[in-house]
This record gives sequence, C-alpha cells and structure tokens, in this order.
Amino acid sequence: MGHSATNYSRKIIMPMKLSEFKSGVIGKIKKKFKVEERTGKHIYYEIWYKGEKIEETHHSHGSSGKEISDDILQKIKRQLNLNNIKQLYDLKNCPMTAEDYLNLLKQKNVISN
Amino acid sequence: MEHNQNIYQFRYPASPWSIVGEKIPQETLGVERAPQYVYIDIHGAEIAEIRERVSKLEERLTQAGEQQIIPIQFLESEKLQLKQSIVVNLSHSSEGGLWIVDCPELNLYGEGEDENQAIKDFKVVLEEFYFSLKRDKEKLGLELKQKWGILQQIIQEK
Repeated sequence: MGHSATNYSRKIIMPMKLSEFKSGVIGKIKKKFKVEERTGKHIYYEIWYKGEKIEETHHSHGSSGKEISDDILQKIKRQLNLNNIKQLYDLKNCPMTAEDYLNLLKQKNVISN
Repeated sequence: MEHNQNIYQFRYPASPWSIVGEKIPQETLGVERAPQYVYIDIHGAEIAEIRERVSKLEERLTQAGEQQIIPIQFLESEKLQLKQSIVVNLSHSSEGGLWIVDCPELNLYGEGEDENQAIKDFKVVLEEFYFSLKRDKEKLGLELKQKWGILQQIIQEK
C-alpha cells in the first residue's frame, strides 16, 4: 500500500475530533468489519471479522467536537494495528480503503487469510 | 557652557549587547539619542523575560519527556484482584495536558488529569477489557486470545 509516516510529523497533523474518529475511522472500518459499540466509563469499539473478535479500542466520552490528543491517537493507532498515525488519517480520509485495512490486518496476522 | 571631556555617556550600540558605558567624544552627543537609550532598556528587559520563559519551557519539556515506569499492585475492583503487579508507563502529554498510563503488553491505556486519575482510569479500562474478553473468550482472534492468556495469568476473580 505504500503508506508512510514520513510526511506526517506531529506538527502538521490536523487534529481529529471524536465525531471524525467515529464517522471517519470507525465508519470506514464498518464497511468490511462488524463493529460493536459499548459504553462504560469510556466508549469501546469491538471489531469483529468472520465471527471473531479481533480488536478493541476505546476513547473517553466527550462532546463530538472534542479533539483527540496526538498521544491518545498513538494508543488508538496501536490498538487498531495500524503502522503509523498517517494510516489513521488515511482511514478517516480517502486514501486507505476498508479493503486496504483488511489486507493490512492479514499481513500482520491479526486475522487469518 | 564648558563640558567635562571625561564624561561617560551611552552611545547608540551596534547591537543590544553593547550597552555598557563608553567614553565617547563629546561632539557626538545629541538630544536626539535619548529615545535610543529607552529602546536599549526595553531589549534588555525583553531578553531577561525571554530567558526566563525559555528556562521554564525547558523545565516543562524535561518533565513532559520523562516517562516513569511504575507497578500497579492492586485493582480498585469489587470483582477482580491482581495475582501479580503490572508494570506500566506513566507519562504526561504536553499537548493534551493529560497523564497517560500505558501498558503495551496488554495494548491498553488509561488517561486522567493527574497521575492518580490516569492510574484509576487504567484500572477501570483493564477491568472492562477483562470482562469483554471473558464474555467472548471462545470467539477471540489471535491477538486478543493472546491478551486473554496474559490476563488470566495476572488477574483472578474474587
């Protein structure tokens, strides 16, 4: 896929709002995966593929306009098995498709081929 | 009127650093130079202020860059208890002003406005993660199955 972090230093990353994470990132993942949302102290997203729960991530409650800090995005990126923050933004925007994400998880043996 | 030729006066400096008194020829003195002395004083004050701010920023950056490794020895849970302590990273996020507790081994994090809140938050996340995996333990993918294995080693139900 050729996604690289080299052009995305922390300084030039646009902030990501909770609403953008939910609609952009989770919305994109939902195109290929089943996502179960549950609410506790935080909002949790369980990601399922072919009957298996493969990943889980969470973020704190807040207004939809609340921005997620870069440090928290780093943790979310890791929980979603992405290689770098750029891929998180690529998921939110157009460059990375749900199919690309599926292939990435297969490459990383998060899900079996 | 006769002037003392040895009088020390300030001369308009080539740089803000050269503001010490210098002996200068009397004929170069002029009324029009007075505002320039004020200009020099402002620079001196500004430099002192900037130095102080840089010093404070350096201090904050050092604090922010520090990552402490701390053990979590107990959970504040009615249902779960630890069999062994968990080692986590505690760090301060300079951007969001948050404290973050991170456990890469379990791929979990907690956050809070101070260290205690972050640790408490991590404990809650850990407990919710435990029961989430327990509920679906027969349907876990490779990675979560591995995490469930770790959780069973370190946590037991009361």
